[in-house]
Amino acid sequence: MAAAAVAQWSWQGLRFALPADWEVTVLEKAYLRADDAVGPRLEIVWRPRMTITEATMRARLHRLLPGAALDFAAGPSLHGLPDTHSFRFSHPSGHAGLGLALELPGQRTAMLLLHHQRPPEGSTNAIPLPCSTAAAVLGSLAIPPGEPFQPWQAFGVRLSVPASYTLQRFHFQPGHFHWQFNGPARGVLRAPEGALFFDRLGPASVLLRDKSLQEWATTFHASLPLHAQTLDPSAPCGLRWRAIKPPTPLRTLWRRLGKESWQDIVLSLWLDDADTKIMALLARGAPARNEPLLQELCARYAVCPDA
Amino acid sequence: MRGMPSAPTPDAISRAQALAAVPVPNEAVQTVMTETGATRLVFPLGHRPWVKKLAAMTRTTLPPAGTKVLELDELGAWTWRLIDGQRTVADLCTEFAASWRLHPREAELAVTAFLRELGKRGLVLLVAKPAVDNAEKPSRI
Repeated sequence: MAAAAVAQWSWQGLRFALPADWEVTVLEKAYLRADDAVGPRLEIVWRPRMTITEATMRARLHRLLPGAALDFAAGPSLHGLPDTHSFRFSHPSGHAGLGLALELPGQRTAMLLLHHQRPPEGSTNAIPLPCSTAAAVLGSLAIPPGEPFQPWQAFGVRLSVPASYTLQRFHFQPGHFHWQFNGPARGVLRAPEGALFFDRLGPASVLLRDKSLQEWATTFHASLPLHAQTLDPSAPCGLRWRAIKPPTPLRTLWRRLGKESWQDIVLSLWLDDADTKIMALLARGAPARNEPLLQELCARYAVCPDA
Repeated sequence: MRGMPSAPTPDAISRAQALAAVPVPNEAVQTVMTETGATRLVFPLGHRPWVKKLAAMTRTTLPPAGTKVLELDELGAWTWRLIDGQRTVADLCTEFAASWRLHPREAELAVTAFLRELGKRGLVLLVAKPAVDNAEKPSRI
């Protein structure tokens, strides 16, 4: 029996769920691959600023699936995503599967490929994915509305960022997950208006062995001005440091030119509900001065273990 | 490769096989607890292959090469205590994730990286879990 879809993902504007026995083995800013015990099962390739037309889609698929025969009439139809282009593909080597071309908010597109199992030696007939597994994955696909926040979820952590923010860098190392999102370019100098840094660290009991959360923060973020003067006593939960330089005519001019001061920082730190993870949100530049935005981002940043 | 995933090579160990393997601690390793509560692994060093070869050629008996100490952090010590020659890698990952409340994939990466480091130093041997029909002949992977 096929495993139920349990691992929730939100990546680059696409939300989906993966079966329990599928593992994300490759994760890049614009590429994701999930494998099961037999081999690759799902691939998603994102592209910015590409309109899906018959010609662009065929050209793209020609590069992704060289030599494969495409059948657009036989693709699955998805009620939740009516404008999706779907197709089946098959290669003379026996490699076959289903595909979708999706239009996402922010002028992005995604090409999703669900691979059948490779045929055994001496055969060219691929072993199809169980219908229930394919249906569970395709049925879980959703495109969250682009405004005002874009949700992200990976490896049991969910967060949201303003829709205009883009993923700059990330890593998922054991004990430390990290995301950096940069704001849109502003001013004559076209520099990002700010950046948001999300860190999830654990286990908290090991990291905070002989230290308070405050002491630990000064070692983890040693380069930031985390001291009594910047400690914000009005933090709704956990700890918060706030270092905002007062506006002067010169600073305002610099900001208009696009030279945003990333020295304006707000760092929020708290423990998750189970007190096992340290959650950190560091805002630099424009988002650091936007208190309602910061509260919203903190509220949307949480650990959500897969079912 | 994108779009057309290549078939796995015949000799490659699958993830499932690796998770089903049983880490067996090297019997020569001594586990020492320090006064501060830290766990140290004391293990004998081997001579370099060229030294052994030279000793064999000159029929010289080599003295012991000494010992080396590896201090484990809290998570490493916790995992080391679970390596009993019975639990599989998957068992260790599951217990690690549950005890430290980590994401299963995160726990798997942490435990497998730790085992890889121990394996490089010869402190554990990964033994393929014997199948039911040839249980008496475990094979090294």
